Amino acid sequence: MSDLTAELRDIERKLFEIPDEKVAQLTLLIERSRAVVLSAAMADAALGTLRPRLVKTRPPRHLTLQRIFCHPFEDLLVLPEDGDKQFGRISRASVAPCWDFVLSCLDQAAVKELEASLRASSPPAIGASADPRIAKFGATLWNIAARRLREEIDRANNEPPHREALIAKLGGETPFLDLVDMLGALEIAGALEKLRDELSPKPVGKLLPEQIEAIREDYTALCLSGAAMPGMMIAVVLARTSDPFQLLPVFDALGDQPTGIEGVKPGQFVRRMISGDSRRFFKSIGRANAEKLGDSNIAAMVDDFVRMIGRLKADGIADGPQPEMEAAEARLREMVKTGVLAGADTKIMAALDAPRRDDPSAAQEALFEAKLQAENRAFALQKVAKVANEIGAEKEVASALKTLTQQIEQGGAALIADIKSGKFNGLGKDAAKQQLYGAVRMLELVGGAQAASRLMKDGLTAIDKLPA
Amino acid sequence: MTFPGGVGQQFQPTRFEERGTAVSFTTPALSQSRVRMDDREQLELTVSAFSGAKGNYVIRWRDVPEIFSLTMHDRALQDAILARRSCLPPDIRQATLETAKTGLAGPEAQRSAEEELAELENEILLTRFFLFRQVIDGMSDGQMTLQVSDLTTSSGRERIRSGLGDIAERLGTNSHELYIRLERWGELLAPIGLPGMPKKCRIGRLIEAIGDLADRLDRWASTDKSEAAGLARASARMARFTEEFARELATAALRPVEYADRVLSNWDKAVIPLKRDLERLWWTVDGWEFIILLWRAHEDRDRDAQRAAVTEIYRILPIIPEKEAANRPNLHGIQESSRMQVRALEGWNSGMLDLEMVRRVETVKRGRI
Repeated sequence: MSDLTAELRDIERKLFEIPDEKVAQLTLLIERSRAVVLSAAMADAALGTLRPRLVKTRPPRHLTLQRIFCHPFEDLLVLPEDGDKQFGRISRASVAPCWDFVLSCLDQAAVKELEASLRASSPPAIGASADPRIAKFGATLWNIAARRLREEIDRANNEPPHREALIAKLGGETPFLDLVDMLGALEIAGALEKLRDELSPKPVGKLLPEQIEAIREDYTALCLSGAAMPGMMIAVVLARTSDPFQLLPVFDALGDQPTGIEGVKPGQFVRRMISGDSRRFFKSIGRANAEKLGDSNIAAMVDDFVRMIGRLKADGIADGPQPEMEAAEARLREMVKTGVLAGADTKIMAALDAPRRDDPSAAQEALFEAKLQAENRAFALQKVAKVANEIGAEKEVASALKTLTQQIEQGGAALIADIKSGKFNGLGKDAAKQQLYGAVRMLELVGGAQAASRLMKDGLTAIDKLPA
Repeated sequence: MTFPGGVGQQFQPTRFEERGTAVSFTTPALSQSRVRMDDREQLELTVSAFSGAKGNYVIRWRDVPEIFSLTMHDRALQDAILARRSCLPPDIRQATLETAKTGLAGPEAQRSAEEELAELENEILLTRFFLFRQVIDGMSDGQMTLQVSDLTTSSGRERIRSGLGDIAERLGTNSHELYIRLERWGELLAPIGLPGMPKKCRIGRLIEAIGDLADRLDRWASTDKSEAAGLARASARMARFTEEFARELATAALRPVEYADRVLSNWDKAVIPLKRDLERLWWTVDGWEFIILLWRAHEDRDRDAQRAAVTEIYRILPIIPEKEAANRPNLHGIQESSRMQVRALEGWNSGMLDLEMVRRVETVKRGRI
């Protein structure tokens, strides 16, 4: 196991040096070995390592009936934050029990035949944006699975004992509710496939007018067709965009059209989904570990949080008590203190040393690393400073920046004094400049261009007077 | 290959000298603005109009720090360029690398500049070696063997000089002068290198990367449904045109090596077109490195960021001036339709630099082709 872990680390390091063909072979090998040679967890870890490269190279994936089954709702899959059902989302933990159940409902001979045809089919070329086999085999599978599931779910809804038995079989209420959502997506799989083409590649950023028009037309057509759960289309559309708030006016404009949930209009469906996603984000902040995250990620998280609550408040989605939001805000404040403010002075002052030509390469490398870390910390501080008032940390951040600026200015003044007193006479102008530039750069990042400009001017004047 | 003409054309420069050389400023508002000489041989900066209007602002180079809030790196770069009093691309490049070496654009840009300066020296050495070898092999009946190390030691250089005696005499000069000519010629050719060299030199790599960028932008355009797809295709067409044009210039610049005896015997006259051809090649590829690195930095980002990058690429696209490619009837200026947005580069009321925007520009500066 440790050998494999070491190999995975090695792959991670060289991830973008491996040729496309090798990535494709490796991916297929891992996926085919899943549960045969490798444990599922190991296979997932290996695929997780490869994932950044998979996004770029797009090797053909090992296609299984389960993967085809999940395709209509794959955009909705999320890692379970807790055991609760999330509105408009499907927990990845529900996939296996639900698929087992679906499989048990199907005609086994037909399943075997479908599997054999799938094995005999040729995968698409590396880099293909889609696998045509999914639509081809999916047309049969989604149809049959939806029909069988509809019978089961209707019966469960009408017969409480059957519902209890199904919940027990699936392992809980959440997988059952996820199964209902899966059914909703399977029943409109054809419409979802068409819309997915319009909303590709994922994530879709700012929607284009043609895309908005397509969403409106497809949703209206779906409602007119009498689909049981048209709201699943809203869920998929939201899951494919990086800015779900832009969909509020789109679906609000659809008025009273049905969503499949009694009393919930399309606009309300969007609000409930955004609310669920934001709660999920707040919970993830609560779990975050400042030490593991690092300063840049904490700053990015603060920025994301502030943007999110701004949008939620503007759209009236964050009215009333918001315990998860408040807990996340408090957690972020804490993380800013421990992960961004604490130790910033040590980190930044350590980077002010300049390497000397005769320093061993290890020392130069260490200083380079120290400089990188100091820069990251300074940028994180500035990023947090912009929005610190939104999380109630403005005083601490402003005070930290002021203190740091003073410290760097003092360091700069001491450097100029050293230059003037002749301490750099033996080292030369270049060495003095190198030291000065380091301080100027840090002062610019922490205290701004004006302070840095003063230091640069005074420093260069002093250096000019050094003996040649 | 044809380009749509339009009102933007009246603002297109007609010569490289008029277009100027792109400067790798890290101040977002000035990123890739251009430096050129005015009619009194004074440096000036051309900056695209901020409000989205067509055309450029032209500012005296020495006034730039008074007009813009510059990063400290850019103040040093502005000084370095002013001190050189040249706007030729190789000189601007040297000033850019020397400034990045100070660390004022961050430690990664510093390291990258140090590595590139070292590589530049290696390319000069290797090109000189291949040129010396080619000339000596061709004109001394293979009687003299040459090692790279001969060019780095005084005894080695002395050995070459004495070995060049016969050849120099045939060319109507002396061995010392011939050595200097070959050294100078090697230095001029170093950015493209000579055929047979074990690795491609800087401009050779850049030409290849421009072609690769065209493919990448075309691929991206085929997956995008927004207006940016059209800009990406137009940028790809310009990249292909530039790649083709630069390849022809590089081939032409290397051709005189085939008749080195004539070039070396008439050096004073022959060096003028040699320098001019290489200068044109430098101008042709100028500004593309930033674009290539900008796209690479955005390829893994989200669609909105990629569309913004494509718009930015189109805005700063180094269009080959009309008269420089007059023999190519298919080159017309690309309509400047992309300057439709006001970019949030500075706080509008404070004039303070947005450090995050600066960092984005610096991130591109870290990369190398």
